[in-house]
Amino acid sequence: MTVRAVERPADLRGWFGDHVEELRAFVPVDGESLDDRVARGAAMLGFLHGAGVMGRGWPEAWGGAGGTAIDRALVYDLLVRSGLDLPESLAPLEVLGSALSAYAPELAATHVPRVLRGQELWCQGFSEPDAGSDLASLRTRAHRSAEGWVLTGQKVWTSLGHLADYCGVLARTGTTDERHRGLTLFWVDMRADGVGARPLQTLTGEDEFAEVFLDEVVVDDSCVIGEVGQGWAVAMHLLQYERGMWAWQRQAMLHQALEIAMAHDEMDEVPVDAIGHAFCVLSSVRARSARTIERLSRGEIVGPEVSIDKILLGRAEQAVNDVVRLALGRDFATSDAAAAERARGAWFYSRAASIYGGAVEVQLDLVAQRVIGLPRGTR
Amino acid sequence: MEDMEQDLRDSLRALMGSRSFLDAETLFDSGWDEVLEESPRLAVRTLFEEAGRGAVATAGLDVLISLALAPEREVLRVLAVQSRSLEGVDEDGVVMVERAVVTTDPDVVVIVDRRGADVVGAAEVEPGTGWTVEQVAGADTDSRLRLLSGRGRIRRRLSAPETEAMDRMVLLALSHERCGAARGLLDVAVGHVRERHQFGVPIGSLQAVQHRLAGVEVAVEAALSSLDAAWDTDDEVATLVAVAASARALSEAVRDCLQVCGGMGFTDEFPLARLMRRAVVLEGSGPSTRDAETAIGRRLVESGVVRIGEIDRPTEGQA
Repeated sequence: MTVRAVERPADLRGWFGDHVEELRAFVPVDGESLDDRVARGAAMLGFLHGAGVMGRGWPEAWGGAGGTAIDRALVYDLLVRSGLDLPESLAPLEVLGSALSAYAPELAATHVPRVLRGQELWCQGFSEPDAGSDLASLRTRAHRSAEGWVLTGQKVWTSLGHLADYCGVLARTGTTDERHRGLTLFWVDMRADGVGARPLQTLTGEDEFAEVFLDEVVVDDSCVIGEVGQGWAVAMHLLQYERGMWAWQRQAMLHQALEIAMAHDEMDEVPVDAIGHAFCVLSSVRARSARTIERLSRGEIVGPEVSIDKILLGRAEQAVNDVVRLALGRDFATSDAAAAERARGAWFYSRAASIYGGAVEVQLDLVAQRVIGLPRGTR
Repeated sequence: MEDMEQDLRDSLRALMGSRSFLDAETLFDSGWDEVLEESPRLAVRTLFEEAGRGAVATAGLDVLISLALAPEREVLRVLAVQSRSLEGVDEDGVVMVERAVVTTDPDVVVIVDRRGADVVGAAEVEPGTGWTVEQVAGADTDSRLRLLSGRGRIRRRLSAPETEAMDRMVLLALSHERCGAARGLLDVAVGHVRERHQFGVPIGSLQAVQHRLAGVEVAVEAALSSLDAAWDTDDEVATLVAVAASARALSEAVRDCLQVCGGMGFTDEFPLARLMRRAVVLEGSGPSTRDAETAIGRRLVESGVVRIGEIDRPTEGQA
């Protein structure tokens, strides 16, 4: 496919300094709904892509500017330093985009440019009602028919599933006994016949995630990501980015949250060691994540040690949001002001940070058994 | 680079061998000071992590500050940290030292007035009246602890930038040593829980045991990453973050590694014992997690700014 040539600013930092006024249009606004936030993020990406900023770190064939994960990390830092948040579509882009790049280049060539331009949102169909931490026990089935692959099952905790255009669905193509060996990852159009999504309101007060129903949804062979039966390997490849690059995006946002809290009137009431603790944990995750991104950029496979990044991120999310909560004093529980609502939403969301993407208990199992070499055993 | 680092670690391990103390002369003879000149980061990281891992006390901090403060090497300057020692003392004044820990009987002491994690000042001090050095067993006989007391006379006050640069190196070195000690404790504990069977299984297969030790691994890795980041900048908050994280790694290792080694870990002949006693000395040798986090918090509150960084080393040629 032909990708429109975009003139790219050579001095990225300088570009952000020169475009403060235009970027102000995309700064988060109080009381914004989730739908509005997603729309604002899409518009922001459209603007950034048109200016040649978005796409650094993605291959040129996919509408990018070449480069590696480090270049993407720099863009995220600069966006957050400019007072912006990171568009919702960037998290699934990091996670699924990396899998498409490695295992389904044709899908990547079609869909990655659309996300970079703010025209598409994806979601990740992994978890199921009976397969959360124990992902290998998932039951969504895919079987071959004359028309193609037929998918049937139910996904849950699918972030933004009801707003997404496409979904990476992990389904069972083998037998249940094969556990993780019988899985395949499929690319599913959320508008296809048989796909339904019902938003679920979360503790944050928003419809953050959804139940996704697949009722004999037909997809063709071009929608298989990797080989049939190789879904677990693709999922493990993807988890490097889910645990590595996601941590980088979040640490940037957490620095911003802490900075906003510092300006709060009641910050003097917060014990200084609590502030120091939050900053310390946050700095650790940034330092750790920077090393992981460097390794990903060199093309290294990041092994089970990436669970350490994930564990540290959960702690940083919670420590920073605890400080934000303290800074708000009793307003945190009693105020209806937009700032308090936002802080409450963020605090509740931070409690999920030790659950989503593999609960902290699972991460500790992985560190114990696959990093420091303790024997597998009964739990 | 990685091979070179491993070679260096191997030769340091050989040098430490069965020693429990590595004095300045041995360090100079080994050529460690030359590595230090070439790459302070590599020299400090390898020496102090290996010393921590092997529970070997060293005169490394003394060599570090001596070379930082005076290029001539005839006189070894010995570090002594004493809170409030320089308070109200004028330029040529007399300093009172009371039971400050030193590694050797010194001709020149560098007194650092540190309160919590903050350094108020530092000065080179010569012996005065009632100057005594007493050897004590303390928590760890093998650490060869000496306590310096008496009056000293200020030879020279260190300038603020000089003090800051010296203290940064001291704190980074101590943090590497604490990480090494935590890793040493973890290695012993991992070895033990893999071998020790109870209820018909290795206790290391039990999740309660696994999570404690995985937690120590996470803490050590977080501290090592923070140290890496601290070497990349001279921002003092980055140093304090590394201090806090390393102190936390060591205290978690002390708590959890001893626990999973059970009754065996409590006997003196078990390899954990030596590391535990040394760890207690190291925990008391500098700022605690809380000291460092308090200092960080105070700086953030004073400046009101949390700086959002920029990742380094983006790929070249992105025009």
